[in-house]
Amino acid sequence: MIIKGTRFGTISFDENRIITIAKGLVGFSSETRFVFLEPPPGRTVAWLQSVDTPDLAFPVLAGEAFGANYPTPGAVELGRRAQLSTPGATASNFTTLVVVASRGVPSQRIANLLAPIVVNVDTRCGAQIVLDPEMYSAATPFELETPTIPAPAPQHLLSQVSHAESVSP
Amino acid sequence: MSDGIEITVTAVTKRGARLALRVPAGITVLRGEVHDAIATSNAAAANTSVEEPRKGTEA
Repeated sequence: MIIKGTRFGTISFDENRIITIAKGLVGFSSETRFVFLEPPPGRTVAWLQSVDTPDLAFPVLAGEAFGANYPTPGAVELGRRAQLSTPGATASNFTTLVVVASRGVPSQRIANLLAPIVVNVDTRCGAQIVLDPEMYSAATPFELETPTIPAPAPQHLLSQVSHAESVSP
Repeated sequence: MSDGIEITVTAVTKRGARLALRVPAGITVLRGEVHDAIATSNAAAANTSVEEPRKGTEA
């Protein structure tokens, strides 16, 4: 398939790399199909590109970037809650993505730790799951350079979540 | 209600009514302010330029 968007230009990818988020993201319920665009070399933010709306993409970081205890409960339990589990699924069958954004002047980076996206990497099905609002915020400030929030592991994500095969102008 | 959602009035007092909500597995019920906070954050992300990749050359 090919997506021609304004943000990344032309992206080509195999259909079997599509991640299906059947219920969409909160506020974007009609957006159910995405491809994972890995971070470019030297950068840390990956993107979930909508398949059906070329101009729509969400910047994401791996959940691991926000600490070993994030998310709580863990991805296996969240996968079970969202009915994403497969028999015998373990933590290695899931990956967690956190939607990030920038806002304000001067720009401040915020992470939506309240509602991570959990993906079953085997079925390529995912869901945006709402955690405990008493524990997490939808707009948690963070800095990419902060040592306590390391960059996500692109190769880890690359091996488990779909990504664009290639991009051309 | 649709999708198997049931709302039951469990008590009525001078201060108001107490409701019980029964929803099927897999359906998430969000308080309005929580839904709005997440939707706002998602919308901000969709319009953000956080560490923008170079157009047409990387992804």
